[in-house]
Amino acid sequence: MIRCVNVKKSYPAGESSVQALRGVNLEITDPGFYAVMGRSGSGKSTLLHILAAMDPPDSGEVMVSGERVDQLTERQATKFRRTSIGVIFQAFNLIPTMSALENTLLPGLLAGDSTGALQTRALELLDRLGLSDRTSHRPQALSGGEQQRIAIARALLYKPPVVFADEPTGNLDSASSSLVWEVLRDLAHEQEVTVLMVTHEPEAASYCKRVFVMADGAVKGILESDNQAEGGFDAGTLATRTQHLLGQA
Amino acid sequence: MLALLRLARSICLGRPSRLILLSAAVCMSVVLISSVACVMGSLNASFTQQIDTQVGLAEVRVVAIKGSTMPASVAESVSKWEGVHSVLPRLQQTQSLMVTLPTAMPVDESNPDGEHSVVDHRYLTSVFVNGINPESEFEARPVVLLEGRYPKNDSEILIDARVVQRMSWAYSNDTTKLAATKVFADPLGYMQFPEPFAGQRAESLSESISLNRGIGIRVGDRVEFARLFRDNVVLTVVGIAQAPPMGGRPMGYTTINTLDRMSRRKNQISDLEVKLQEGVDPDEFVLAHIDAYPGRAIVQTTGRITAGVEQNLAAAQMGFMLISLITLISAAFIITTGLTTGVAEQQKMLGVLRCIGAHRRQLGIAQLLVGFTVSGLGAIAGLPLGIGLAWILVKVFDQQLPAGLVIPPVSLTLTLIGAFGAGLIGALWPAWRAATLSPIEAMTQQAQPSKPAQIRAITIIGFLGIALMAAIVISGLTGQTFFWTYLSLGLPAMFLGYFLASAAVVVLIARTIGPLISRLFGLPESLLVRTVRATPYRHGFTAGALMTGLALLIAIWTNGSAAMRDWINQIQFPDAFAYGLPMSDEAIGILNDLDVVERTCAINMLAVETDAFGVKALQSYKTNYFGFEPEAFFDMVHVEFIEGDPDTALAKLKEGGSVIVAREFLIAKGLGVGDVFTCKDSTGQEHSFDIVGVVTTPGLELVSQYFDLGESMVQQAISSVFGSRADMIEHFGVSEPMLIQIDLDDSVPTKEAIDQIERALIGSGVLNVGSGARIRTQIEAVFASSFVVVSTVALGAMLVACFGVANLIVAEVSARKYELGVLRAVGASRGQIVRLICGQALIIAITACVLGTLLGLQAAWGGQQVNRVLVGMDLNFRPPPMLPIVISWAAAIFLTLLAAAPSAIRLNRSSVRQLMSSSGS
Repeated sequence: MIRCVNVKKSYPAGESSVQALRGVNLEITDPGFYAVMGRSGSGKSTLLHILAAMDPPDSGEVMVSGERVDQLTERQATKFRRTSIGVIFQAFNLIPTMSALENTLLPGLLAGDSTGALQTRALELLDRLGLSDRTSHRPQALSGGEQQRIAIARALLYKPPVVFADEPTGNLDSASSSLVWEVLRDLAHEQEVTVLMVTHEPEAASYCKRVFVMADGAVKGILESDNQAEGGFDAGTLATRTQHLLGQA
Repeated sequence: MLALLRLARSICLGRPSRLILLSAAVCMSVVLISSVACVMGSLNASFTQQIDTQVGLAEVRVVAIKGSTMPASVAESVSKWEGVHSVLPRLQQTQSLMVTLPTAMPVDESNPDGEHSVVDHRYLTSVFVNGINPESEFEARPVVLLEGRYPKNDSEILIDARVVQRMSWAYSNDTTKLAATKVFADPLGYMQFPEPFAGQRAESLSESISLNRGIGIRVGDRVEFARLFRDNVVLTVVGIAQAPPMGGRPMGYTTINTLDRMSRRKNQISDLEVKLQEGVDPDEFVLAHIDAYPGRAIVQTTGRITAGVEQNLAAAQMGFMLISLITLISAAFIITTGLTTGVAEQQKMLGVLRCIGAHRRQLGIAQLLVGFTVSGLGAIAGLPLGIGLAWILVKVFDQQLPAGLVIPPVSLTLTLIGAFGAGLIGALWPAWRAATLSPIEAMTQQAQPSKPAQIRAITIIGFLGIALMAAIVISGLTGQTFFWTYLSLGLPAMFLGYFLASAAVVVLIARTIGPLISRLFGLPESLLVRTVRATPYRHGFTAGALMTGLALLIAIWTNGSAAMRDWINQIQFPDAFAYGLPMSDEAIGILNDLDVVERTCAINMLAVETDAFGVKALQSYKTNYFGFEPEAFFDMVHVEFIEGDPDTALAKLKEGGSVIVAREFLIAKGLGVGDVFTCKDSTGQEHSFDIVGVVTTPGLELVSQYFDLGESMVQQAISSVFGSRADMIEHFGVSEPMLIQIDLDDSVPTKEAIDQIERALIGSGVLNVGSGARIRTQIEAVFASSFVVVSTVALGAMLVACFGVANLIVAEVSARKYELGVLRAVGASRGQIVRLICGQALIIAITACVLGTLLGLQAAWGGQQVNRVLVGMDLNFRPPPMLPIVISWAAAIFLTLLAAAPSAIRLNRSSVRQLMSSSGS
């Protein structure tokens, strides 16, 4: 599913450069709900951008859904992002001038694909996410939680095996956040999709079955859920274990 | 105040690209306006210089009745009048001037490309010669010297650059024969090449051209006045003077004695300059002596001559002010759009400021300060650039603008004030927006969509403005009332109306053409269309700024082609004309004896004052009074009687006291058969004639302008009335004709016939000979040149607007950077993002094209009504040829896409991460 081998990435900062990733190694072989957790500046968003073919690594090997993402051309990366993965962002996910249905269909519209089957798929997803009565609404008429659910539906349009979510609940209240986490977890199980979520919140990560803890541009440790069948952690335990891991690192 | 300045500074520096682009738009406007102001100032100064040369610096003139002379003893009598300080007599005649210069000519005439040898060859032209008193003439009537010195004695002559140009080999052998190339060629260009000398040989035509290009008159050469049946008079060229601007008569200066020697009537003068003693009032002086020489000479103040010309030159400022106003309004709209976009971008910052205690007034004033800064930067940069551009133009056209660069302080000051005004007015709406934002509203993440009701209201106001202009045009108002109402109300209302309607139009264009563009560009249909519809004012007003230049192009081409089609092309010129000041009986006799000439008609001409045309207190146009033998004239001329019948009209003309007027009088003033035509001569005396016919114009006024453009620009006479020669002599004392209308033998080619006539008339005082066909060609060439000049100005205006487009695209891309990043992240290619931006630019361009075309056509329609009312020109309104419309649309689309290119290129190079690395607002 997802494999990173010694992935490195740096960015120029004035006359010097910042090492965002210092050799990340990570592997996910089964579908499920996973998290990458770390403080601000740990490199987790950079890692997600590389996995989602939005930014190439300086070195290392990146494999997602059987594709060597680090070797994709620009055109291949675009197609990869459109059909092989789904991406959900923290905010401004949706195009403000498009309706909920159109935003869900956006990858298809960009590909020039307007088949009825795709439309049916979009409506099914929106229905599954409890938004069947909001299909014609524009983003400004929807709550934050509803907007993120539409973003989830869009990410799943082409039934990708992998979905990346970058702090998907960063702008939401706790109730909406819980709803979104549950949706992601349930979809990962139902649709047999690998969902990798980047977060700094232990409560978000507690919904996952495995958490990769990052600090200083590398994976410092991996925490497995006590309850693999349900794929969940206790949030308090998770926070303590994470602190311990980072303290040791 | 310090806080306000800091706030304004942070707004300016918040997005430097916007500051630069908006300032650049103002800068370009100021460059355009200031360069036009300087060039107009230079043109006016050149005309004034020409008038000074003709009229002199004295206060009073005594002038022989036009075309004739008066005894030289008049000078002595006048000098004895009380109050006279000094007098300066002058005699003027048209003479044929000849010079023999070594020229490479074909050895075998049947082989013009073969060997050439340098032999003496004669060059000939007609010259308007001034016989002067060399000791005092050039102090009173200064002439600018290009080479040499003023003449001092009877054997010397000073000629102007027009004369030397006509007598150069290059001029004679210009195969294009177009007036434009001759007018703008450097008349002394041949002087940079060596002259050929006798005995030189050239192996080919091209070698001979290299030899001959240096042929022309130089200081020290001997020239001859060719005289019919008498010995030529030989003079030495001692100087070359600057030519009058915009063409005009080729001039020479020699002593009165020399000219008197060549005249049949001795001891004559044409006019007398009278310098008065200190404290003598010119008007009272003239009043006291007005009847001193009844029927022979006129006593007049020189102020009366210059006043009308200066008024007409000042009237040209009106057109300049109108163009300046439209350009600055365009710049103001660009600033409005740009700063309003800025307010939207900085909404959160403004909200935070309000939350921490900033007054609404402070936020509003800060925006005004930004507008002031934008216009200030633009004006400071634009003014020297504009003056620099004018300097270049004056250098390039130094022959036509001999007065050199003039920097008119009033016009430039007004330009600066206008630029600052544009900035402040443009900042009013964004200032109001910034001041009325509520803190909570300002802190919301997403911008509010435009309210349909608001767009509807603004569109309705726009349409009302457009309709107001149409109502004024069809209202039936006439004359001055129509002109001032149209200018002050109709034109601005129409202009603003199209601007306000642009928001609705861009939405309509997006809806109708957007889907097609989306399909062509491979974009989701809703993405492009909804993006434009989400911000209709930004897109619409930007299109509105772009439409101005396009509208100007369309209007000029519409009315220009209408003028060609309905006016010029309707005129049937006679075969040929001969022109002289005046035409002698000898010349007329010679013409009539030629085999190639079937018949002739002598025409007297005089510009008389009338109130039929123009705008009171702004312009005064004279009209041309043509006098001739009625039957002979109407036998030769093809005119159509619109009122009256030919037989009755001709009979009345022969009786005297009647005139036939051109159609323009009927259209402009409603003057027709049964009405009275009243005019004034140069003494101010009024003359009245019964109108016995209204005819289509035979184009005689165009012919006289063709032959004497410089004088025509000074006189500003339009249209014509036709009367008998007898009336002309009785009322105006003009007895000698200036123009001969010629019917040629159809079996002889026109060029050959003209050449024969020119050769036959050497030495007979004829200034010029031309065919009707050539006159038409020259007029068409002048029209074409005007189109090119105006089209260039219009393209310049469109270029100004492109800065507004660039600013909008930059702002749009910046505001939607994150959104564009999301699009890329979910599968949009770089190309699709770039095409999205280009699609927006294309919709703006198409909207500008539609609006500009409609505005241009409506402006042309209104302009035709103005012409109808002011100068009686009746044109049929029809759309212009397709070519200028296609060219202007292509230019608008190209310039808009060019303006969007930098942003599109930057977007294309940006990675997904770079796009998403900043927030969307």
